[in-house]
Amino acid sequence: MTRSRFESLFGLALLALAACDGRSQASGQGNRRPVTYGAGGSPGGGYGGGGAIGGGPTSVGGEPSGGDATAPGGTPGTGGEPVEAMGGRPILTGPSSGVPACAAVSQSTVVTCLDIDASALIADPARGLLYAVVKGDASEHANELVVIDPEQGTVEASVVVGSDPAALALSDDGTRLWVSLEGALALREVDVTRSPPEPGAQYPLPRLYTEAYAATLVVPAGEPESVAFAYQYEHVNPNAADAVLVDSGMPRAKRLASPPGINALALGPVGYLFGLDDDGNLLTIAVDADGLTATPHASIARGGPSSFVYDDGFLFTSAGQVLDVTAPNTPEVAGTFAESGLVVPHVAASGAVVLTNTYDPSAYDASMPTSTTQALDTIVLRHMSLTSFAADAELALDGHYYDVANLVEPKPGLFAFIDYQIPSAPNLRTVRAAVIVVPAPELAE
Amino acid sequence: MNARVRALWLLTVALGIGCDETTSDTQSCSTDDDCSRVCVFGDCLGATPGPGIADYGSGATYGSGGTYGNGSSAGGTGATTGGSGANAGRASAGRSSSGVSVGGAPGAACAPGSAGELDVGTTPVCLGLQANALVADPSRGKLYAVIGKDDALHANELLVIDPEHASIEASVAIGSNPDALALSDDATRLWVGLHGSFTVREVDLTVSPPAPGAEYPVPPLSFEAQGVYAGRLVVLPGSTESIALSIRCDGCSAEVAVMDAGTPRPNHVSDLSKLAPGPSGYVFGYNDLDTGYDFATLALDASGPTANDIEGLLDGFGTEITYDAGYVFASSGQVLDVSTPDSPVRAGTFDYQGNLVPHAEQQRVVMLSYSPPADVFSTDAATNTLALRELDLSAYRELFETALVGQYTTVHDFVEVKPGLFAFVDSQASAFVTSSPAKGSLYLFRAPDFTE
Repeated sequence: MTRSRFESLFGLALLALAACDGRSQASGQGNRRPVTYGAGGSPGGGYGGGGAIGGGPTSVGGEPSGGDATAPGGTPGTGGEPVEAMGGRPILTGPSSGVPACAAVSQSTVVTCLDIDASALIADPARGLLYAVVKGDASEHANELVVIDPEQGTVEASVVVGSDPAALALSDDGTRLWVSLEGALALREVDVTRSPPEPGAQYPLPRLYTEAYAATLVVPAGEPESVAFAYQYEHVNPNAADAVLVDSGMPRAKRLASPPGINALALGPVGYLFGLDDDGNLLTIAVDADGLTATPHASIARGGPSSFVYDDGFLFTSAGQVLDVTAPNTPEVAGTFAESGLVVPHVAASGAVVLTNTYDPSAYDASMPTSTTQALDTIVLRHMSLTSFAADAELALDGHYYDVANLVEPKPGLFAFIDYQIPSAPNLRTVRAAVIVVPAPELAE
Repeated sequence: MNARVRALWLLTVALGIGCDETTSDTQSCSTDDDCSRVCVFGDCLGATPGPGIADYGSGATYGSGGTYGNGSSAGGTGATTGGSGANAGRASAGRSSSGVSVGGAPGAACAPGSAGELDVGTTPVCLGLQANALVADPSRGKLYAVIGKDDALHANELLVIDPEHASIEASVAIGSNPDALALSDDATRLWVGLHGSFTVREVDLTVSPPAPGAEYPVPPLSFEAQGVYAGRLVVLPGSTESIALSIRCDGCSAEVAVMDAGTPRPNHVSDLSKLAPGPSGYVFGYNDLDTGYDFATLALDASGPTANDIEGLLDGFGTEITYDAGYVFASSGQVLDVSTPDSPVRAGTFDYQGNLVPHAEQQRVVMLSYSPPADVFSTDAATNTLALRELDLSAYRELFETALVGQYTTVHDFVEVKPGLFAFVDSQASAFVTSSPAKGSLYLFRAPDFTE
């Protein structure tokens, strides 16, 4: 462990966690606050500040001061200076009020909990940054792309990116970020070589017979203007649908038609992608000028993985399998980890980091209303060996979490993921999430 | 008392309700037939207000010294609906969702005052009218409402309403059971669907009072000639005599036809129940009667409409569509970019649903949406609260939200008659169930200035 770095992050975590405490339970119910995106840095400005309609004394941040140490505007650990978003409105950076997703994180845990209601999270290792997107019903950063410095736990920039961003993919040259806009049934490209990132063209998806958006997307190696994506239907079950490759929004002719629908896509070596379909097949997907051609492999991907990730000749599934795809058309099982979960592979170092989340029945509070979503999972990050397929280092996080997604490693030894609060009646739309950053240098290699 | 006020005074007297009647009656105007007490500025014409009964006027200006959401009040207490500050001294009307009176002692709100127009506030004023349909005429600053066949006072009438003073300026007999309205874009013609006689009728608005003119039969459906009526009407862009209508009969699907001074063009388009006027030469249609949820661009020529039918853009039963400046807005929250009318694309989706008034050129939309207080959405009881939202059309997110005082059932015909002055109809029955807007109580409010 790098002691000094750990300590600074620990201090940061405590500050950030002040923003993530349980005050915010009121925010999920009743009248919402006026959306005052303005006035970062001034007392009373920002969310829940002056003039909060329908808020009343119980509203978050309703104090005349605009809150506490977590108020917007340069408080250490809460996000630096306000930045100008598109359209000139000053946008608050950093957390200004707690969300339930952060409430469950123990204050003794050495993590940073960022009150960013992310729908998707991706790492830009070349720049050491995280990109998160937030859907339109969030109380902060609605429909924005948020650039996070994971080491500082600060929001570096945020820009409006479009209607209900739902998924992200970064080109391998690090120049283009592609955003799926669920509300617009479109893809939008963002130039991430600029600071702040500059949203560019928005391309409507080729229409299916009913509403469908790009639920999972990848940018093929060496083709920053191309995106392969799998549709998900909004109102049809099963919701997994076709996969298509588009170049600046124009579809190539050959698509993978459903059924079976494509549930997940992953990069492969140049000229290939991989997929998982509704029938449980692993798909080797050849990419050429005509489009996508899939070769299904039955009985390889076991355990019903929901996602997988590629690194240097190997696929790692969320069900714990490691598949050798060095010969892309003849995948073989290389082994199965003793633990399964979200993976960040380190093939060059013959290892991988696996996040396991485990239901902890002792955390259940029976006195809470049954409609209350409770954080009941414990989380362990483990470094797994690609020779023994067993753990050789681990870090157990204190506290409890809801449901995790999008494990990434923006810098060596620094991990991040989204913790989603599972929606529950009567507020089915009130899905709240937090971005959790975990320094774990002992798992780096 | 001026003439306009007198009109409502007469209405009130006719209902036997006087200012001297003091009562603790908690009768609510959020149900269909009890919205009968009206208090108009400076003239106490209503009974002692009870919860839900909206009253005009008082000495104090609603919200004086504090427009909603302007940040002048510290800490989220001042400008709070049902709170203090902006509401003080005003309007005994209504009830807040918390059950707290909005302010003012019973009876006090009707004291003569100096206010001369509808004040700013979040308590909609219930006019004591049961309207089947409502349109706004912003060019004249008037509302036109049609009243159904079984109304005690205004059966089968077209009413011209001055919203500033909640007064009926004119009422004319219009025909049997009017329940659809459309205004020409030059505001010289109003077209009325007469459900009772299966006709449409044009009204000349250039004279006062408006002069009902020719009445034309609704063209037959391709499969049914009897009992067909205009479910929705639009006047074609740039026209006064040409209309598009969705032809309905009870329990059947809908067809769209175009008529010129009563003469139908030969072609019909099937399965579109909702209409919105588009740019010149186009009308947009949507079918909310089955789960195909087709959206269509209707190109118009001498033979009638031709549909370019597109699935996968909108959804929902009961969804209404509105056009403004290159966009089609759906009450289900979706927004379509129709700047190229033959190739509509989804531009975005608001995370809220409700009737809306678009201001596309200002990149904003005003939406009136339900906020069910419990986990059950009800369409048969006045249990829903309403939230007024300003939404950003470029970022597809909320800019402002405030609750309206009172509880409501099903809202339709949400219109803006003057900047910030809105009206809507609250029906007891859902518009979808009855296949055409059900009659309901007509409400007015002047919204807090949330553009700052």
